[in-house]
Amino acid sequence: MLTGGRLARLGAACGAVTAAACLPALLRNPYALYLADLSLIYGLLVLGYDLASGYTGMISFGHAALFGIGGYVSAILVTHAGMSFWLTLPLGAAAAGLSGALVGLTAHRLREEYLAMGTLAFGTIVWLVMLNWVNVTGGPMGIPALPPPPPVSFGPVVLRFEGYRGFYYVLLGAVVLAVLVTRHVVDSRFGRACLAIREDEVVAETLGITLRYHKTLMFAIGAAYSGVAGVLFVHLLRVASPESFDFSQSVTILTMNMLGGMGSIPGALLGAVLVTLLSEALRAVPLYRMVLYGLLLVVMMVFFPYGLAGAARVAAEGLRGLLSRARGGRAVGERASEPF
Amino acid sequence: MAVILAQLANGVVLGSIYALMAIGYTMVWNVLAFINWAHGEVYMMAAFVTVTLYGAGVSLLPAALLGVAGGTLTGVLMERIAYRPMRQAPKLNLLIGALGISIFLRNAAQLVWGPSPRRLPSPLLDRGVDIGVVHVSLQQVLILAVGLLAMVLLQLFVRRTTLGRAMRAAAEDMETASLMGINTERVIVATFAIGSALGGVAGVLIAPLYLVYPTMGVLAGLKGFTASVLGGMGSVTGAMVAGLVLGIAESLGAGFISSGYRDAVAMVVLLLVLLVRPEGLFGHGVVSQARQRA
Repeated sequence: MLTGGRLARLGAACGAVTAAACLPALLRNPYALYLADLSLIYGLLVLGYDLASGYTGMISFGHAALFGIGGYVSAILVTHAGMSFWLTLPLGAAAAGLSGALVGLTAHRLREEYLAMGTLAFGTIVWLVMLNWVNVTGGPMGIPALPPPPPVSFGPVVLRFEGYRGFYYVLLGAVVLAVLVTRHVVDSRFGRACLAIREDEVVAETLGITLRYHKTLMFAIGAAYSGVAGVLFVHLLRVASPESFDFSQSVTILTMNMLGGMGSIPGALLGAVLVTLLSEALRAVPLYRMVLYGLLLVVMMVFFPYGLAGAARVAAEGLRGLLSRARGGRAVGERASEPF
Repeated sequence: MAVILAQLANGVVLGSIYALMAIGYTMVWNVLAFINWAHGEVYMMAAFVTVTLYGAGVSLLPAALLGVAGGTLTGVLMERIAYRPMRQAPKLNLLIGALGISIFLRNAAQLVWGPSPRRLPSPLLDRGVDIGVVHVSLQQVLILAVGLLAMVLLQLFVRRTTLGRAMRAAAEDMETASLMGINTERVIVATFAIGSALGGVAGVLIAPLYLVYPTMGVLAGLKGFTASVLGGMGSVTGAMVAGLVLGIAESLGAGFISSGYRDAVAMVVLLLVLLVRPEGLFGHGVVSQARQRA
């Protein structure tokens, strides 16, 4: 059954996809197209990150490692084994998903700062391997000269993906798919169990929810998104290098998630786009960029703990309360303080 | 044999630094049940204040003391500006806010002081004593002495003074302590001040041995945290012992395996402790304590 609210949301989603599909036609500048591509990649990353952070309450400080695993698996298979991009894409996703499952499985008992520290250690170790295992990963130089996705032909129709414009549609497809999967997962029985874990692990356990299974699976699904993002990222940049997957990348993902607001699909995408544009604006001064991320994290946590999505929700509730009070109805503004 | 003994001496010295750092984590955990992620930045700020003042012509001892004061101020301000408004917020927000502070300070320091490392000279570096076959510089002796002294003073403070008792009461149960007339706000500020002062002491003491640079607090913070987890979160004695254990393990690991893996030792120890014995060597159930708090 489609209620009014759901219908409106569906309409907004269709509108957003249409607008996003038309965007490349408006962007003549290749740099603008590149930024649009980058925003979509980060959108995919944050959507995956949010599955763990926003919907299960697992904060990771080493998410860039999963992003990097996807990227490096594809880069290695394409250059050393000569595989096609279309084959390495699912393989990269699977590799990241499996690594995510391993992390989730070993870390399901850790919470909050312990999980954060554990994932930080994991991320650092993976990054050190990328940096030092020169024979396989190319060391600090990385793996250069990665090809773009080869064309796909359906009979007479040949789809080409060279250049930022062609890439954009691959990315958009991936993001749309990710949004659909997220919606489906979150609305399922499994997703609701994860929400219960986020709210209170002890209560969730007494309700018969197994922490190990739910946390591991959710972390793995999010990691698979990151793997896809990683594969797309290295083929967009044409190079897989360790500097793309260090701790500051994990911080970037976290900042996007916090800015947009945890547990919100529009929030995840908005945070990704805003921070991507912001960091490109500050590209010449990377130090200011990190200073700003730090400040942004603190300010968001102190004043807008539920991000822009949360702030928008509060504003909307307030407005609705104001309207209904003007009409003489009951105020519903009270609910605005409820976070999610 | 001489090499092993030298590594051992080195490890003890490093270990006292980690112990000083670990105490800061553990004290804040005791009172607020949260990990101050930005504690490594206190260590860095103290070292930078000292180097800057020394460079501006202040003589070494006052510069060092002012450096410790700077570190203390950094810790207290963190609490006042960021952690206090967030105290009622969910735990995750505090955690992320603390990471934000740490990233902010680290990069702000790089903007102000530049990325290149600086030297803090010390008259104690060149002089040394020979213990058996091992040569130890006086700076290393000083680190060990100050470290031990700070730990003894801390124990006396926590056990004998009124504020120290208030601190222990607040660690036991913040709400009840407050009902008994303890000014818990004051206790929290004092906790941050003392923990940060010890972190600052560590930063200033280590500065002549290693260099002073904006990211120096990252690994020191991580290792201090590792030591506090290994010792059992919340146990000051545990933090001291575990700091020394970690320092020695690391130095021996660097000596026996490879110096490239020196920092990996702490990471592996951290992961092992987290997975096998999260309550640490001296702790009594971190999880139950956290639950109680929540």
